Amino acid sequence: MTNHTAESELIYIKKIIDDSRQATLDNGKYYILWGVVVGIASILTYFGVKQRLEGNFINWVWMNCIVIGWIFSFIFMFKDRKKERNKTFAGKMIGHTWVGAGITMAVIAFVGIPAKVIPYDAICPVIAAVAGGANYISSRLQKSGFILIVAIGWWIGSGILFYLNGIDVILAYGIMLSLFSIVPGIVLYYRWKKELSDESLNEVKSA
Amino acid sequence: MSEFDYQKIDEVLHSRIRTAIMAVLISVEEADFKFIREKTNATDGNLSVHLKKLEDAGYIKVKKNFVDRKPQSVYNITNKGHKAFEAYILNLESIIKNNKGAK
Repeated sequence: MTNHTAESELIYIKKIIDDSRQATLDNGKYYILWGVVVGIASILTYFGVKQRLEGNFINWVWMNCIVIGWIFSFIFMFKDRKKERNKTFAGKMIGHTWVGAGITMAVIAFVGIPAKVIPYDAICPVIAAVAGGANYISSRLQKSGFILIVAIGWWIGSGILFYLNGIDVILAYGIMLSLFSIVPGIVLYYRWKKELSDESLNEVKSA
Repeated sequence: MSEFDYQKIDEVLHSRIRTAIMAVLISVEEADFKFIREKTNATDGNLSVHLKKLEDAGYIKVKKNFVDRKPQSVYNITNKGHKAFEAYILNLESIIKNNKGAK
């Protein structure tokens, strides 16, 4: 084996490893799910505050919405795992990042507020900042510029939310959810669908 | 003179397609047939033959199951495969090093 052959062999191996390590495209389902679930919780909180039903009602709303969100997430995870074509380290890391971010958000909401350490007005901006961080990590692992924009959107939105008070925070947070969770979720879902149909088309062509 | 020893080259791995299969499987925990085919640009028949060779050498393992009533073969690398691939890479590196030293 010549020096040139050995070198080209190593370059080839490195290229394949780099290519295979990349996480597959997000199917956007979790963005839509959590956007809708938290959106419903925000709308109910808005009306709860308007009707002066604060306290137990708001806790009950958030607790139920989060439990429903997790149940659906587990159903999606179970279905996706069955259809998964490969398991990459990056894909696993994205999953862990979002589970970690979800637990962090739950601790902030369900422990920070009852303990009266975090005021109501601060919950949305803090959660938005955590969402920005989780989106940022996902964007780097998937090498997706689109998700990076979503992450920056959450961070900028979080900064704005810190300057708002009372009911305005929930309203602005609702707008952010549609802009940075539901809309990106729909975009990612259609991209994923398109990639799947392109793959099947290539398969038909090669058959 | 180069210190290259041809006997050190693993005959099972010394094939472009089999090296490519091992490189794919070393970078993921497991992968199905379609994913490996996509990454290696191999045809179905060719890929099956080479996967079988790697399986016979004990470098990879296959799990067969059904997804949506369709058969699916999922492959993963064994410990023996890991060690063999590592040795193969080290061998390639030593060839490059020795040749550079000889110049």
